[in-house]
Amino acid sequence: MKILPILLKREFWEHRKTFFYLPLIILVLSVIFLIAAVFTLQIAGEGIIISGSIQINEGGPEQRTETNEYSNMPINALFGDQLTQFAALEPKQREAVLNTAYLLMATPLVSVLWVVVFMYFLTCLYDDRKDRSILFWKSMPVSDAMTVISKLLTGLLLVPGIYLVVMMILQLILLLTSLMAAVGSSIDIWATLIAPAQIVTRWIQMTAFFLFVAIWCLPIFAWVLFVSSWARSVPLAWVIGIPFVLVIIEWLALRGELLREFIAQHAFPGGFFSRLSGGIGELYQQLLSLEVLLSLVLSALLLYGAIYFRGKADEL
Amino acid sequence: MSVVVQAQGVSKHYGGFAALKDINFTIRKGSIVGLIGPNGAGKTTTLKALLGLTGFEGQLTVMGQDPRKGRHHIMENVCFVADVGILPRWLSVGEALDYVEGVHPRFNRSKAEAMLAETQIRNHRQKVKQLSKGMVTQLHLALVMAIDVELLVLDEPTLGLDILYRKAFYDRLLNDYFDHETSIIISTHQVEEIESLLSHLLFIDQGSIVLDSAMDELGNAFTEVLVEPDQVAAAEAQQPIHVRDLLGRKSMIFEGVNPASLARLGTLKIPSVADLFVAKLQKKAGLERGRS
Repeated sequence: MKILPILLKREFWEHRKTFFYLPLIILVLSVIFLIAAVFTLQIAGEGIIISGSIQINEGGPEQRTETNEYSNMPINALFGDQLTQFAALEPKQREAVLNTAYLLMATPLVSVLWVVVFMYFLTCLYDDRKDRSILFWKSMPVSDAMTVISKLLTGLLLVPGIYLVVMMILQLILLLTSLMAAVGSSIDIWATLIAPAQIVTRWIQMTAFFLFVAIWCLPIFAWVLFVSSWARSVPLAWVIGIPFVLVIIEWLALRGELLREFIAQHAFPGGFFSRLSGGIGELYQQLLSLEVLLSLVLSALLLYGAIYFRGKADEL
Repeated sequence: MSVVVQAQGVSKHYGGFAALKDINFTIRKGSIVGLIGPNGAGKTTTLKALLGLTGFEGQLTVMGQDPRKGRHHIMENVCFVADVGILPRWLSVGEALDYVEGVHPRFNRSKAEAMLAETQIRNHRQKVKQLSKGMVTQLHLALVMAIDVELLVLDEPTLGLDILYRKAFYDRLLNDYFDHETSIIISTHQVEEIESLLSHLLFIDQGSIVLDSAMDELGNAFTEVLVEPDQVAAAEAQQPIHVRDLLGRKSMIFEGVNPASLARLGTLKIPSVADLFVAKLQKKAGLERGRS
């Protein structure tokens, strides 16, 4: 366990581009987008983009529609002329608008993260066999189990952790930008912009969410890692091909869709949320379900297989 | 002398193809063993088997351990350098130092840095893909030589390098690294370059060991005779294992023939490893032709 930090560092060095520079570029682009929005709305005065879409009606069943209109352009609501209109909203509505705005800032990073982690697991036990560097890695006193565990932890915790920090920075920038834009206006900054953003609660929730997703998606990622460990060519074809054939067989033989549903549910974090009707407290119950416990057993078997094949692995 | 590697009846099959056929050998502490054979003879397979990088049948112990079970334990006491291509291209010089320092308990970083300072590698931020072949070997060697191990395994370490690098490589190996506490096993098909530094010879051909001898015992088993023209018939009666024409005379190599009985045939000497290699391999090929 003492060598785990250096093994994680080694993974980071190899994948610096997608683990670090990619989220950094997305951060910069998002900030540019934010500044452009502020500039259009704040300096140019008229909210060119959406000036027509904001109408505040008091009370009644139409409130829901208004929130939705905001959620199309939630960030615009915080700047320029619209800020005063935003400040006049009901507290619940303000929270909803801000929630959408802060989530929106994180969306590009979350989408990219999934692809980055998937590609990482797909190649991490395959590429070094292909370029022969496995002979160097295996000439070091690092066990095969330790190698596979370090790769699992990299994709499951290290990379999401980096992206999470970038998301937090981005949300902090949104908060600060909205505060700066509000300077000089007569609105109550604390009640309008800071308190309803719930930034600390939000970060705690995001961290918890990432940890839950790591467990939820584990069987899929363990499968990808397993294939990466033994495939002699095109690991992606095996990763997709084998489950595809099994799903077809299940359908033809049993008219069943269990496997297809399992994959659809666990492959994407969205599947996790589609099951939650309540709040974060329900997460625990979902995680203690028999299905999740069985999927953890499956993951353990796949990881054991990945370690076994890593032990046999030679240059390709 | 204590035994570092012991192979007994080791075989390796790739499908129906036998890469190693029931081989036996012993490597003792403090020896420098040349594992010599033509391309495809089974050199790399032998070395990979003793490093735990490939499976095999039979018995093989490296410092008392089965490499199939505890590769990572064995690697604390064994270092491995293969031909130039195995350092990952994305790794930088500094990262390589950090990594080996982090995972290897016997790595001496300042020693590695001192050795790197003598090479053309100046910038530790340079990546392996930016280095020339010779520089990559220098880097790998600096890493490995800074690890205090009991056995160093070199698989065609100078393949693809020019003669200046090859010469410097072996000089450094003998002068800076070898201390009679370590053992070294070198595989190569370029016999001449390492002949002078070996203490033990293993010839391998088509998966079998065809010669296993200490260098200083070669003279007891093999004699090369530059045969006088009038003694050729008498010499051939002694069944040389190899005959070649040399400046109008015949040079013959004899195995297991008392040198005293050969003295009257011409000038005696101990054959060079390269000539012996050719003799042993041609003899084997001849036997196989005879059999079929």
